[in-house]
Amino acid sequence: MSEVVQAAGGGKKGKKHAKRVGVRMDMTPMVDVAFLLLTFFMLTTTFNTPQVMEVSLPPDSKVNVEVAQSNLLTFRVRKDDAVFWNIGDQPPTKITTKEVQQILEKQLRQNPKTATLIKIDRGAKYQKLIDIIDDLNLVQAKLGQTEKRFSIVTMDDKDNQLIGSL
Amino acid sequence: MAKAKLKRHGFRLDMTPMVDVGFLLLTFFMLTAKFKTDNQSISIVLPVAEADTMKLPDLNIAVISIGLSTVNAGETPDTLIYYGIANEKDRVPIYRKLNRVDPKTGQPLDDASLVKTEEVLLKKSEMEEAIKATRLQNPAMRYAINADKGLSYGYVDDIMRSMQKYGATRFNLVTESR
Repeated sequence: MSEVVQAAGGGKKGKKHAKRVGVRMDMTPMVDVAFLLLTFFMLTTTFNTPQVMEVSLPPDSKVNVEVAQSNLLTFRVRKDDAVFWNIGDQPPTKITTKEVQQILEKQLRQNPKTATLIKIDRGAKYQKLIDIIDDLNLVQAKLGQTEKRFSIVTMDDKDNQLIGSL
Repeated sequence: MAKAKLKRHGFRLDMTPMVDVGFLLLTFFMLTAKFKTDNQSISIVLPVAEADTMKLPDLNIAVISIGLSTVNAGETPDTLIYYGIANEKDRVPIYRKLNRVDPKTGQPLDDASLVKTEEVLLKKSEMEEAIKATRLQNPAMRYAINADKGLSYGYVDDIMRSMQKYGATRFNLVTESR
């Protein structure tokens, strides 16, 4: 690690009078560690902030926003996390989570005025809600639509009757 | 000629300035690093999302965390709700409304310890009270729901409805980018 640089011409005699010229330390390992730490801190500080997804709800749940049946795209998530979709008052169809994005893209491309309604059972997994909102965000970004037209409501008995047997 | 006799010495670069700057940056990052002050009493596995979203702001944000208790993780763990205010100046009046007491003495907590409290445990029944107090204290406050992805939607729904009731209709769902 450290070496003492001695004056030339040591020997038995020289030991007594050995001059201390200077201590030289090899700082390479310390600098290595310092840069390692630097890299660590640089990487952890920038990537640690969690992402957020913005959602807005109507101020009062009693106020009804009128949407034409043909513009209303409904996704229902049942207690067992099964997803169903329909437009207006058409009968709901069961789909897989992967199909949500395709359906959204098709509908939003066809009709940019589409309002999406997510009806989710209180017992369904929270990740399902995030998945659908995420798909919606992705599709809207792809189509260049910025206006967020979606709402989240809980499923009621009527919905359960509608999709319960499917 | 002197020129021809010149010996080639080993190339030596003075690295002192680089090391100086390196240490300066290291100190800077170490001091500014915000470690995820994870709440140790609940575990939250964030839901994953792909879409480009924004970052969680540092100020003017109230975070409602819902997660599974880590205390009795072996059995069916309890679902606990924590409520945290980012702004230190708003913490005291809001937490004060929730009547938090020191678990050791049973006395109400003093201002100094309330300011340092990042999150308080909340009963389901206190949710509305907490949001109401926050709305009154700082109307610019934004809300974020930080929930475990495996939870039932019902827990999130309860919070969303209480927020809706007090006019906090824009809020954020905390996710993790894929």
